Amino acid sequence: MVAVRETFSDRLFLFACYTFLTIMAFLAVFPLLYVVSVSITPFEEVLRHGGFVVVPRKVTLEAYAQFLSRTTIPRAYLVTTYITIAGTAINLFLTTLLAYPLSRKSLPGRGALLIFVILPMVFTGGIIPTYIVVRSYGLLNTYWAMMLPWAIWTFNAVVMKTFFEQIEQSLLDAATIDGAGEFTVLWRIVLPLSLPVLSTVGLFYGVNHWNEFFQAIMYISDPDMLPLQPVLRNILIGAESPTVDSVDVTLPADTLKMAAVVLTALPILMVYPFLQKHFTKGVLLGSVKG
Amino acid sequence: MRRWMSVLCMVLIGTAVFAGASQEDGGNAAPTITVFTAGPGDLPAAENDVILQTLQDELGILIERTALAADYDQQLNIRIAGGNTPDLFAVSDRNQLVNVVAQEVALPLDDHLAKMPSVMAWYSESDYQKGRVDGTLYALSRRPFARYSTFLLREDWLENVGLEMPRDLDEFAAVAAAFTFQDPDGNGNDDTFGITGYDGIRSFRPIFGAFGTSHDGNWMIRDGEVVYSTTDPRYREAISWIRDLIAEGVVDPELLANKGQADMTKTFNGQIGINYRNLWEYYKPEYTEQIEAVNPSASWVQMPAISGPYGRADREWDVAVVNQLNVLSADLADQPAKLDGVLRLLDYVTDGPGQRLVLYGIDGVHHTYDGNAISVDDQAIADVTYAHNWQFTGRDELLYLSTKYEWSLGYLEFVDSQPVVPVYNGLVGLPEGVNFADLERYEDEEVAKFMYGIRPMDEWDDFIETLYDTFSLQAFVDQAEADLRANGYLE
Repeated sequence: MVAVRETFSDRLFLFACYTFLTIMAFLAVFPLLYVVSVSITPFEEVLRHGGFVVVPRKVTLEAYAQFLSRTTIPRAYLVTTYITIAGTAINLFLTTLLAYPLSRKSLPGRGALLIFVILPMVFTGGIIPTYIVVRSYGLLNTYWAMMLPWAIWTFNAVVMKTFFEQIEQSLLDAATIDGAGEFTVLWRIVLPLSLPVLSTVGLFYGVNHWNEFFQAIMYISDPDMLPLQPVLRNILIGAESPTVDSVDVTLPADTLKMAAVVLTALPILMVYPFLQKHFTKGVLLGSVKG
Repeated sequence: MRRWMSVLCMVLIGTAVFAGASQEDGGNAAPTITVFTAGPGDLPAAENDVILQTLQDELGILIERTALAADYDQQLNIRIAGGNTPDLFAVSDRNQLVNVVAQEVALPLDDHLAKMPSVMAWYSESDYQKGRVDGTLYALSRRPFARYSTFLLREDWLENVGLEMPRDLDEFAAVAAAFTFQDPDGNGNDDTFGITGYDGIRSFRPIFGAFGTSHDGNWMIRDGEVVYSTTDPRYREAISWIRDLIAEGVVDPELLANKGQADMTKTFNGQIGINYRNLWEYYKPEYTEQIEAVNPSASWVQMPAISGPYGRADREWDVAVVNQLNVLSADLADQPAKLDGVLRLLDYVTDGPGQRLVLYGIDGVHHTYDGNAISVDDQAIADVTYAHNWQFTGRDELLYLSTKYEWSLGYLEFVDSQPVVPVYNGLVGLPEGVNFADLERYEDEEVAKFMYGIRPMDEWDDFIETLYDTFSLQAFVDQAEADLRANGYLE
């Protein structure tokens, strides 16, 4: 090993890099820190500091307790968890079944099919026609209404198709020669090699389901079936409107708003680290030789 | 592989059947009524909503209830356009009512009133008037809320700067200046402002009142003529006066940017001395605690109306103020069981045990009723704060508030005793083919420019001319004249 001598300009450059990265990291972390701090500080304390607390001096979990004690919240969590898991499973299943055939060059009429698939990326049906479709299938007020419309995002299907295309044809051929049918090739060969794209696309879908809002307020009128985001919005919205419509409503304090942000963001944040390794893992490392 | 596939298919089919089945139930015994209203939602889950449960039991109906805090109009429009009009829904003002009537989704109610004896007993002609379009009753207007808002003022600051409660415009300006420049909180810092507000250029309502007029966009009647407030010469005078006030630097510079509860945060922090707000936000224990937590000495009092060149009034007040209009779906015309259910629901919550239920919760749990008076259990009633969502036809306002919030009576009476400038917006519809929202936006923007000295006052006449030339103001004026004449307010 030959020690590489760092010149002064190298060090200066490194120093500049670290400084820049530190500032960027701070800019990213600071709002989160602020949100968490306000959510665990007693409200009077927040007010005394003009609504601005970065490092809490007193800690209370009252805001969280207030939220979780509402009967609507635990139920909303269940609904959101259900549509996130079931919805993402449906998404991945259907997206794979669309992307895989499209990735095979031997598919007859592939070009025409691709246009057919990509067209809706540019032109969508619009809100009311979609509503009428959902209604005519009897999906209003069912969890399906939050999972089946948009079950396949064209963009994700295209990402997946591109990934599948990169898999060595010879691998698939080898499997076919060993007697594997199309489904076996997909299930045994292609999918195990595609964990990075599955986790990426799955995360896109999953986060989207976790944040489900629009379809919920459009198609769900039964308050018991609403997922987390619309329920929180219903609780917090009073704080956004300038006047209280009813004397019986007391507006939630800032601490409560921040606690809501933490409660919604935290679970999905916790999923990221576990999926991260798939993003960086090499794809076909050592699978084809010679 | 195959096993995996078949399991997945089974799961999918299983849930589909489950989801389908849950939709079909209901049978033909009790009709299911869909109810869709706006409001600070946060309704509990149906099985925990004791009011919903009681209404269902008492009336033999099933209720599917949605209360939306946001995007209500949009959701309602989608449901109407998608052919899924709720059986009972709310619109917030006359323009929306005219719209749903034009879309033929509203059921005419004149023939059904007889089935609602309590409504007939409680409603006055002016209540019905608000729900009529071209002489036909299409909506039951919720009986109006009382007035809650006035200027509120830091009394302890008033003492600190050695001034009296302002009685006229000059004294008001002097107090605002003292609150800004004489360090009323005595902390040695120049960190206070005289006036703030939540409502932008409309935060100065009592100033307009002192000039005998109202903020922009209101319909008034003066000497038997319709007057549109924005074009009222008195309004111009008021704007000119406020312009001087702002130029002096006594108004919160963030006034136009205050969003949501920003003005209340400034209240809690002790930054401002005068705010135009509703009494609940200053006197409800939940809020007074917050005020006192930071400034134990803070004492907020309601400010009486001040007098100006054209008399003394606190604010404008809509003669036909509308808080909510209940509309029934036209589809109910051929669903007699459902229609009957909706009518009984509306009637039930208007009087007697039904009214007490939606006001004070369950008898014996949240309140006790001895056949004469009601006493509320303060602890228990906190569990049914959502009850207001069920008060479709409103309530006897003062009785309700003073029963539920005993401390509020004095404040309510104070607001009620303040003189007002009557306006008639609740009775004026929109002419076809012109856009009121554009007019309103243009007015708001330009008036703000005049107030803040960006546009010179001598361009005021040009501004008014633009309202007529570009925004067809005359069409609105004609419509207002026609509507007010039809309702008997004009000769």
